[in-house]
Amino acid sequence: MTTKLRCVSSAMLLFLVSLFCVPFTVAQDETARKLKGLDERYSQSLVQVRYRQQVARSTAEPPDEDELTTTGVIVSPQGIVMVSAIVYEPFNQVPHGVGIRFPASVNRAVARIADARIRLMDGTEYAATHLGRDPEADVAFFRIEADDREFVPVVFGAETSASVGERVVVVSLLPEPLGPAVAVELSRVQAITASPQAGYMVATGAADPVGSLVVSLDGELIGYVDALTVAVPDTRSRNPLAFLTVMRDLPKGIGRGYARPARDFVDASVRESEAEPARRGWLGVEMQALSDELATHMGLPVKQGILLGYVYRNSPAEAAGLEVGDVLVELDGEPVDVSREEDIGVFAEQVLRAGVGANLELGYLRDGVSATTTAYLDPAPRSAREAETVKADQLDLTVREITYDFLATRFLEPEQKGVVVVKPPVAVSSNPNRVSPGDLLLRVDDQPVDDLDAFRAVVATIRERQPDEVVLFVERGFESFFFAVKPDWN
Amino acid sequence: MGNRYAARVPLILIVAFTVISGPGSAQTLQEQILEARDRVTPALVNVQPITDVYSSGERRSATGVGSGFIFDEDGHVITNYHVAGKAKRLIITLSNKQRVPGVVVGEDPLTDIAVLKLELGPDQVLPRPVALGDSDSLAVGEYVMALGSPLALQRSLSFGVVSSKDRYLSDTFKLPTGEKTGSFNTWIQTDAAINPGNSGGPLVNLEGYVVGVNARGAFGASSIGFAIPINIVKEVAAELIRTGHVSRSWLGLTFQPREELAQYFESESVPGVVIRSVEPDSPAGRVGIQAGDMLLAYRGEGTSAQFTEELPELYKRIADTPIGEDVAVAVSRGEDVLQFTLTTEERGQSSSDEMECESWGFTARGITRELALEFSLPDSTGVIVAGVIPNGAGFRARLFPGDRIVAIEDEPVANLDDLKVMYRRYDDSQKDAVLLTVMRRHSRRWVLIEASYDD
Repeated sequence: MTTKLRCVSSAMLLFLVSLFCVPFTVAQDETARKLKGLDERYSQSLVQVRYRQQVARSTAEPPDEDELTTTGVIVSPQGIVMVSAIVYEPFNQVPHGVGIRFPASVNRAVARIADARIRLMDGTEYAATHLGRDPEADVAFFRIEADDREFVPVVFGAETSASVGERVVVVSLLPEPLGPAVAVELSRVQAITASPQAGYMVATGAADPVGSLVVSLDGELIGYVDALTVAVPDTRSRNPLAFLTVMRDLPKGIGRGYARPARDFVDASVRESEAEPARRGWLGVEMQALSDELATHMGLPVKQGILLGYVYRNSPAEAAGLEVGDVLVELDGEPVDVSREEDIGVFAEQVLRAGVGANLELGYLRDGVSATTTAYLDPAPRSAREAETVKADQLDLTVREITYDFLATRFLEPEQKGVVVVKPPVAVSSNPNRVSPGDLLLRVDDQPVDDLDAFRAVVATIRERQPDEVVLFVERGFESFFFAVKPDWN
Repeated sequence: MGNRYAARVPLILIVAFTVISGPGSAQTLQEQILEARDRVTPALVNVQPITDVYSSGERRSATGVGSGFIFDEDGHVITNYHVAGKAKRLIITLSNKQRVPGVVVGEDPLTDIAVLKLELGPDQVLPRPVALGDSDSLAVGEYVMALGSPLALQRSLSFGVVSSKDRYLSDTFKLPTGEKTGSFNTWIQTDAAINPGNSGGPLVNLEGYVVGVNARGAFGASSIGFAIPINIVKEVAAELIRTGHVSRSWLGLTFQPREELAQYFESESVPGVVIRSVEPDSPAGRVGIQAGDMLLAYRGEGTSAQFTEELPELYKRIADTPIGEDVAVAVSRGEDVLQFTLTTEERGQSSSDEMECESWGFTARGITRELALEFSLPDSTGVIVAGVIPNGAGFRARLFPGDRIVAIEDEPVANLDDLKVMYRRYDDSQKDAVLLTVMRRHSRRWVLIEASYDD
C-alpha cells in the first residue's frame, strides 16, 4: 500500500504546527544568517502546477475529471518544470478530504493530464504543455509556454550527499488558500533508508508536501521530497477506525516526508532541458471541406480540397499570399484529399507534424485558376485558451493577453492595445454597466493598459498608493464605460 | 386571536376613508374613485393582437392580451409596443363588449408605445375618449388607479399611490421582444396592482385624467408596477399619428452619471456629464470627441448628470434635436475646454423584423445596432439566422443559428429586405440547390442548401 500526499490542508496544518514548534532560538547565530534569503532564492524556482486529471475507468463512459494542484520546480531557463509522477495516478478523495495515492494497479486506470497551467510566485501564470513521464526518475515534466522569459532553474547536484543527523532546510510551497508562499523549515536528516532505492532520506518530522526541496545549509539542493507517509481512514474497510498507513515500498511511518537524493534527478532534468522542443507548426487559416456537390455547384475544376474561410493576420498563410475563398488542392505535391469536414483533421495533422520552420508547398485555386505558393510555418501563437493571465487580487480582477483569435472574432486590428478580462470584479454598486469576461480593459485610472506588462506595472503602483477607489475603462464592441472598483487592502 | 383581528379590519378601513376626504372637499374618496372610473371606463379597450412568432426555424401565429384606451375623436387607441407592435391582426374589445377590428398606426419600441386605430362599422359609435392629464404635476403619494385586463380579466380596476415619479430603469433593460427601451423617460412607480395584461392600460388620477400608461410589473415583487408618464406618451403618439414613426437625432454618444466616478473625474461640484462611449463612425466620433470627456453644454445649454435618473432628460434633448442640424457641443478634457460643431443624424431602427424561409428550413432576422453589439459584429450588413428547423434543408446543410448570411449565389444580401426579394425569387423558380455565403463569427462558410418545396 502506498501513497504520496499532495498539497492537502491537513498536511499543511501539521506543517504549520511544526513550523511553530521549531525552536528558533538561534536567531543570531550563523545558521539563521544562512537561512536568510533561502526563501527568496527558491521562490523563483518553485511553482504551482494546476492541471486537469482525466481518468477513463471504462471506454463506455466519459472520463472522470478533476482539477488538481501540485508543486513543481523549474529545472531549465527555458521553463522546463519537474513534478512528482503523482500526477499520473488517479486521485481519490477520501471523506476527510485527504488525498491519497494508490498505485495504478489498484485502480486499473492511468490518468491523462490536460490543460496545465503554471503559476510563479511573482503571480504570473502561464499555460504549460505536458511533456511526459521520465520512467527512470519517475517524475513528470511540463514546459511553460512563454517565449520571451528566462526562468531561474534549480540545479540538482550530482555529488551531493547527506548523512543522518545533518541539519538541512526543507523549502516548500504553501498552496492556496495559505499561500502561495515559500516556506522554509530547519530540519535534520532523520534516517537514510535502504528501500526501494538506497539513499532515501527521511527528511523531516512533519509531512512536507510532495515537491518540496531539501537544501543543505550552504543552500545546495540535495534532495527532493517525492513521497510521504500519512495515516488516512481506510475507506474500503467497514471498520470506521481502520487506518491505512499508505506509502509505496517504504517502511511504515506516520507523517514523514521522504526525499530522494538530488543525484537521482540530474540525468532526467538535463535530458529534458536539452531536448529540442518540437513545436506545433501554424498556417493560420480557418478551413472548410470542399464537397463534390459544392465544387460542382461552384463550377470548380476539382472535386475535393479545402476552402479557406479566414486567413489570420500576420500568419504564414497571409505571408504566402493566401486569401479567403482560395481552395487548397495540393500539399507538397500530393493532392489534398478532403471532401468531408471530418477529413480536415488529417490535413491539420500534416501541418502540425511538419513543425515550426517547415516550408509547405501549397497548390490552390483562385477564381478557378491554379497557382502555387510556399508557406513558411511559424510557431503556433497562443490562443485565448492558452493565454497568459495576470491576477490582481486587490482589484478582484484577472486579465489575459490579447490573442490572435480574440482579435479575429472581435474584428480588431493587430495593433489593438489592452488586456482581456477573464474574471471581472464583483459590482458593489447599482451601476448597470457590469464588467464581463471578454471585455477589453483599456485603462486603469489614467494609466493606459496596453498589455500584460503595463497591467502588472499599473497594479504595482496601485499596491503602493493603496487608493480607496480605482476606475477601470472598459470596451465592449462599439460601446465603452467606466467602472469603479473599491480595492481590498486587507 | 384570529377573531380579534377580523373585528378590527373594517374599523381601520372606515377610519382611513373618513380621514382621506380632506377639508374643503365635499366628496369622499370613494365618490372620487367612482367618478374617475366612470370618466375613463367607456374608453377602456381590451387588445388581442395576433402576431407571428418564430421559434426553431418556423413561423407560427400567436395571440396575446393587453389593454389600451381611446384618446381622441378619431378613434386612436394608445397601448404598449410590447402588446400590439408587429401585430398582423388586432381584435379590440370595447367596454360595451363590442368587438372591433383595428390597425397599427405606428409603434415606438424606445418608449414602448404603439398607436392603433379602431375601424368602426357604420352603426358603431365611438365611446367617449379619455382626457389626458399632466404627469409632471403628479406628486409622490398621490392616489392613482390602474385600469385594464390583468390576466385577461377585463375592466379590472386597482388602486394605490404614486410610489415614485422619476424611477430610472436601467438603459440596458430590454423588452420581451428584445429591443432596448426606456432611454428617454423615467417611470412612474405605483403600488396599484399591475399584472400581465394590464400593459397598455391607463394610470388615472382622482380627477379622472390619464397620467400614465401601465407597462410593467416587477418579477418576484408585489405592489411595484411601472407606468410611462403620459407627457412623453402625448409627444410620441402625436408623431406616430402624423408620420407613422418617431424620428430621433443621434450623435453616437452615451453617458454615465458622475455619482460613482466623482473621485476619478474630481467632479463632485462641477457640472458636466461623463461621456461613456463614442461610436467611431458617428457625428461625435468623426469630430474627435472621446470617451472620458465631460459634456459641459449642448446647443448652448449647460448639462449635468450626477445620478442615473438625470440621464433620460439629456438623451431626450439630443433625440429631440431636428435631424441634420448643426449643434454646438462643449466638452472638457482634463484642463481644456473644447468646442465642437456636430451635425445630427437620424437614429437607426432599434427593432428588426424576422422572416421565414420555409423551403430552406430557417428563419432570419435583420441586424440592428443592438444585435450587432450582442453578436460582436463589425457592422449591420447581412441577416442573422435566428432559427433552424431540425432535420430541415438548412439543418442538413449545416447552417447554424447565429450564422450571418452575406450573399446568395454571390449576390450580396445587405439586409432583410434583400433576403425577402431574393428568397421569393428562388422560391418561385423552385431552384434545387442554392449557395449561401455566411459568416460564422469571423470565418466565411459556404452553405449549399438543397431546398425542399411543398407543392
